[in-house]
Amino acid sequence: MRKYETTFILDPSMGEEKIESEIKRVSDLIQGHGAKILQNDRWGMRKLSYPIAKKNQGYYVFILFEGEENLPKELEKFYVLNESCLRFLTVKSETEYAPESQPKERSTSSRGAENLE
Amino acid sequence: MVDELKRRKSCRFCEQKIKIIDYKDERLLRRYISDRGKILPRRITGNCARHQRQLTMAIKRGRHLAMLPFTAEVTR
Repeated sequence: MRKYETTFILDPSMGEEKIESEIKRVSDLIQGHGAKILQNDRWGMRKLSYPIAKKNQGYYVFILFEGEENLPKELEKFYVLNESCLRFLTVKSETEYAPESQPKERSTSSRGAENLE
Repeated sequence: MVDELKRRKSCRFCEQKIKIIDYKDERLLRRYISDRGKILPRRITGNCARHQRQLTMAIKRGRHLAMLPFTAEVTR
């Protein structure tokens, strides 16, 4: 088991309901492989820095999970086949996951690390 | 000149003890790209090799996710 984080951008033009169902499909896929979702963030609608598939906006979703090593591959297979997914990125997670705490501001987290040392 | 030499020595990430540069931290990464979208070189940022490498990685990931530009925006 290993921690991964995956971010994907959904096509916002397909409507809220479809977005919800796509997010659910991804999380079901992750959980279906025996992985545990540690954090599920919706960054929501954001302007893209450059157009992708002629879209200027995208709906961002971020998921941090702990799963087997073959899962990222499965995920990416899913993304590639999914036309509503504009972009995706799955990487090994290097940031420490702290339950109950939301992602901290850069300044406070670095200060906190200083105190520990 | 003296100022620049002084500045060059300090890697901001080392100073702040940031061990991992996060590609999700758009505001931070924006400071390290030029107005044309290029990654600033080490001689300007003053970062150490390790952090500059991490930064480059993070910026490239950010670009892939369209959080950062590859080039300056095209005016239509």
